[in-house]
Amino acid sequence: MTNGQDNLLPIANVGRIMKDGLPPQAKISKRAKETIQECATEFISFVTGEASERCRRERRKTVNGDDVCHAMRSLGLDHYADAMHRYLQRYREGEELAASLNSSSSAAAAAAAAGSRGGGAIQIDVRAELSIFRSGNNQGRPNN
Amino acid sequence: SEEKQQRESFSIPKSPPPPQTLAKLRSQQQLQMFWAEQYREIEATTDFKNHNLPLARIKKIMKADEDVRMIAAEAPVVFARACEMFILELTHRGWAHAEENKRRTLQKSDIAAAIARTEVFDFLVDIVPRDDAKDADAAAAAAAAGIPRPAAGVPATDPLAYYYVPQQ
Repeated sequence: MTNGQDNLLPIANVGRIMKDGLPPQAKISKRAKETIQECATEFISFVTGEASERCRRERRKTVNGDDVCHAMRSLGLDHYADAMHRYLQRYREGEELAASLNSSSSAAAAAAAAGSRGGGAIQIDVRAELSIFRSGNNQGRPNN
Repeated sequence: SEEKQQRESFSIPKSPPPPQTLAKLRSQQQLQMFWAEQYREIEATTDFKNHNLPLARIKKIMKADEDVRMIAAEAPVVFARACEMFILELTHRGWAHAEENKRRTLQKSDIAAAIARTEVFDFLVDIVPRDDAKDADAAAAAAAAGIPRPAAGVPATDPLAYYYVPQQ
């Protein structure tokens, strides 16, 4: 790819999205795709510039989702600001749920690892103390 | 939102030709439907990991701004969705222009016309070469002046009529 292309959104992705937005019989010229490719890339740069300015004013180093939404609001892109505010809320809810599930999974994995690392005597002690491990061990027997 | 709708109604010319009014009203209705659909889809989103645009590329574009130091993981995710909506809106508005001119192929000039007509897209005027914007403006001026367009498939009786407008 040329250097210019490396800094643009991929035209294949852009073309697919455009096609989804049009009636089946519509055709799209290559230059129309290229134009929207450039416009969408500029959209990111334009909003990012506003978002990073807000970060600078508030002496923060990391551009986050709120900064992006706020930037859209400041730039008069109200529909985008409203929609993305809600999208960000739902994204974060999803992340929190995933994190809590992952935390439970990590605890179980840690318990299993502790069990497998133990020597004879220690192993017995661990089994005695961890009901989860004992339960798991019991369930494992029918499978053997 | 109510205030915006009132502003939109105020922006409609007081005595335009009926077909033009109908076309504009239909276009506005379609945009309202577009945004209602977007909100609905966002509310229904369950998969935040697959995006129609690559996050790595978005991050690279963001980092091209020298003032940007660190980027939270959620920022490119937000942009992926926002950009998709942006592409759809611009395509939608461009298609309205193509339909007004009875074409089935979306052209660069349709995008230019959409940008010229939409105030919040002023930041894009430098992206679209002046020639395309000028053509779009000329077409808009012709429409505003009430110069009738030839019927579909019928060649224009006066090929110079189109070029007369920019010279005014």
